[in-house]
Amino acid sequence: MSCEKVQKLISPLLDRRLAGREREIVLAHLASCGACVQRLQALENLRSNLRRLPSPGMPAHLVHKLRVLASHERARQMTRSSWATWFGHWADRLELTFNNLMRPLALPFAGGLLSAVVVFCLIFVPSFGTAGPLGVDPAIELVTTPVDGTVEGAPGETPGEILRGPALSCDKTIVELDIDESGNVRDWNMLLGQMNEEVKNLIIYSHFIPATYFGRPVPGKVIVALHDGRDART
Amino acid sequence: MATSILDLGLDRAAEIVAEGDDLRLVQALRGGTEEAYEELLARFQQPVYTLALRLLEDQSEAGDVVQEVFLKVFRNIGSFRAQSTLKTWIYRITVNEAHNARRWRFRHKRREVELDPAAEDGRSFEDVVADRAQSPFEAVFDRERRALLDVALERLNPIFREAVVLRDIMDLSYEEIAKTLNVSMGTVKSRILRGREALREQLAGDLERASALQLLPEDGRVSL
Repeated sequence: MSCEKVQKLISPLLDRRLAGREREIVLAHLASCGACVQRLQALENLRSNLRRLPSPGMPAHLVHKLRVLASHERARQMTRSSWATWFGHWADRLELTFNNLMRPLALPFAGGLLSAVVVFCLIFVPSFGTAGPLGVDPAIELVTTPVDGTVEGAPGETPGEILRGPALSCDKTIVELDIDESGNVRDWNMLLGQMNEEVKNLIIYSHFIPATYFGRPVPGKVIVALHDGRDART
Repeated sequence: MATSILDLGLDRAAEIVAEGDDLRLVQALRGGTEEAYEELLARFQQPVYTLALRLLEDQSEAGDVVQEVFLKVFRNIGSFRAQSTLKTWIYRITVNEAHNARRWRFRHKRREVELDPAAEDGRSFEDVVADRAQSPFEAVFDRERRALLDVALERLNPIFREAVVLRDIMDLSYEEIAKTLNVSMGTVKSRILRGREALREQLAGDLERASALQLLPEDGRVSL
């Protein structure tokens, strides 16, 4: 066998792919041919060097990616196993998508709602924040009517005694009073009943809170009904 | 007459055991058990990465190929018919994916210029730090030998490289290589022979010189 043919068979010989007669012929040739032995040694050396090449270490991130990939694919496979899991999977996906959409809005929404509540409380609930004076701000009532306040009483009498005093002689008396800016009775007009001293005293010594127009006291009228020594405004 | 497993050759017996393991693993994968997925990765992720890296000589491309391979394995495990071993099937997917990646690179990356040539060095942290099992001289020699082989493999025709890598690095039999590459046995023999010859010619004397260097200290004097 020629050297050229033997050298083509060296590779299978190294891999133990030669058998029988062919193998014997090649071995016999190698025993007598230095050039072919040198080729055998070179190939053997090459092969052993290739086998000794270290196995390259896998990058850690690749190992991690493969694990994630396996996990995803397993989950995907499981979702296809039955309709129930398929629906469950899509329900989870929808819920996740909804949550992802809503989550960025949650903080602004909560902040806005809280701010609205705080502002509402500050403005409309009197006991919140500045309590007291703001709650009875007369300026808010732009136009008011006269209101009776105190009855000062006639000279020599304790203020208020007229109202608590003995019953009036008449059963019912209705008087229209004209109140000036300072709250005093400026004029009157009897609508029902008779004018007598008791009624006159009561009218003269009564003091009213005058009517107001945009906060300023102005003259006004008030109708007073007197029953048995007590009055009832209208 | 029934044949006992003891009557078979060691290779054939190992093959039968592997086939049994494969069937069990494939069934478990089809059932979707977590352990099966873990076992598949534990058994094949390193060999697949090694094969992809040896075929492509590029870490990032090899990483992409590995992910593609396992994606295809996970998605197509249902269509695995056990006409070959699981290893052969997975290696065939790897070779095909590496082939696709190489073709894509040839089309798209030819005009790209590497901005950081140092990154091509490929030396990881483990390569740089001192290895207590080797002397510095041995480490340098090993690195030199590896670099020579890497360059030679890279220059090799991809068709022959596939055959040589599968045979000499991945340690597949001729039959497995034939199934992996989907070619005949004669083609496998021919490709291995031509691949080895091409490597031998490229490395002509380099590995032998390196071996001789191993015996010499750095100053060139032989110490007795």
